[in-house]
Amino acid sequence: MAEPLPPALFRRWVRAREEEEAGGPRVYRPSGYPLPPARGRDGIELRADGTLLEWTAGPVDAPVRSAPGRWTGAGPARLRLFPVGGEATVVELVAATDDLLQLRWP
Amino acid sequence: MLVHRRLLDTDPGYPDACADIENFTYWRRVPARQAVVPIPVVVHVVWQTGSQNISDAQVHSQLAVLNPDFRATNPDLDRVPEVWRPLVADARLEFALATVDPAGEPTTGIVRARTAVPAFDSDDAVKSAATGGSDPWPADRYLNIWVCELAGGLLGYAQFPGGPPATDGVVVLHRGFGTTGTATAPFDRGRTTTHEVGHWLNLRHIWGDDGDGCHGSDFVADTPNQAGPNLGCPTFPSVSCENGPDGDMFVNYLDYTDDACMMMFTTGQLARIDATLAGPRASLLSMAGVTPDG
Repeated sequence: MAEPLPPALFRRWVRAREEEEAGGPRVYRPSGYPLPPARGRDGIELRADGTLLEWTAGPVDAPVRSAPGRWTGAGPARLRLFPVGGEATVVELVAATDDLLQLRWP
Repeated sequence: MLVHRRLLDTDPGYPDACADIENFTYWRRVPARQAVVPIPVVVHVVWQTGSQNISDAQVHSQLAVLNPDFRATNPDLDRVPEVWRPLVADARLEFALATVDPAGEPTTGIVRARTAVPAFDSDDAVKSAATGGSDPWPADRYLNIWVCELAGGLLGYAQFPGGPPATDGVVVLHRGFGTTGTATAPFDRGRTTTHEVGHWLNLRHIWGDDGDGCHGSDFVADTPNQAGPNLGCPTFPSVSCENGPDGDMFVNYLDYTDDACMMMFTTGQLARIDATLAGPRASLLSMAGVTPDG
C-alpha cells in the first residue's frame, strides 16, 4: 500500500515555466496564484476521484479544459496519467504543498 | 473558461455560423483587396486600482503599434528571416479611436468604467456593466477593446467572427497593452493586441491548436506546419514537424513568441482577413463605403 497522496495535490494547477530549470521537474502553482503574464500557460487538475483534466491555451487564448482523463497511483510518489487521446505516462511527484506542485516527467 | 468551446456548446447558432464562415473563406477566390479600410475602435478601460486606469497616452501608444502592424510598416520588419520576406502582407486596415459614439455624439473613443472586480477571468464578465465591466458599443460598427486586470497571468483573449455581438471584441491585460504606462516587458510592445485583433479577424494560431501535434491547421497555406506554440524568442531556424530547413514561422503574430519577436502577417492570412471583411464583418466595409473587392 503506497503512502497516501497529499490532499494539497487535488486542485487545479497552472504551469510556471519561469520557475523551471533545465532537466528539472515541471513546476506548477495553484490557480489564482499571482503568476506573471505569459502567453499560453498550460495546467493540470487532479481530482481525488481519479479524474485528470489538462488545461491549455485555446484557439482564442482563453484557457481550455480537456475532456476528462484518468490518473492512478503507481507506487511511492508515482502517478500514472492517462490523458484523453494521449499515451499513459508515469510521473514522479516531487513536491505537493499548498502553493507548489513539482512533477518530473520521464 | 474557454471562449470558443463555450460558444460552441452554449450558442446554438455559433457552430453553423463558424462553418458558414469557413466555407465562404475556403471557396473565395478573388484578388486581394486594394482599399484601405478604416476600423473605428472603442477602448473600454475597466479599472479597480489607479494603475489599472491607464492613461490616454497608453491607449494611444497601442494604436501606434496596431496601425503599422496592419500596414506592414512596423520598423522591426527587417528582423523577418529572408525566406519569409516575400510573404509579408499589408493588411490594409487602419484603426482609429472612434470620434462619434453610438448616439452620434462626439467621443474620445475611450470609455472608463470603475469596477469592484479585482481581476477578470475569461468568462466575459468584463464585457457587461451588470457583471462589473463595460457594455460593448455595437459590434457591427466598432471594434471593442476591453483593457483590464486579468487573473492567472492571462495576457488577453478574443472572439472569432460569428459569435454573439454582445461579447464581440478583444480583451487585453493592461500590463500587455500599448508601449508605455503599465506595459511591462516582454509584453510591452503592443503585440498582444495585434494577436487578439488577428483572432477577431478570424486568424487561427499558426500551430493549428492541436497541442504539440502536427495535424492541426490554421487554414492558411503559407504558414509552415508547426508542432506546438513557440514561446520566448527562438533563433532561426526552429524546426518541428519535419518543416525544415526553414522551420516554424515564429515571427508571425499568430504564434506565442514575445512582443519583440513577432512582426508579420502573411499573404495567406490576409486572404482570411479579406474574407472576414467581405463576409461576417462586411458592415465595417459598407460603413466605410468600401466594396468587398474594391
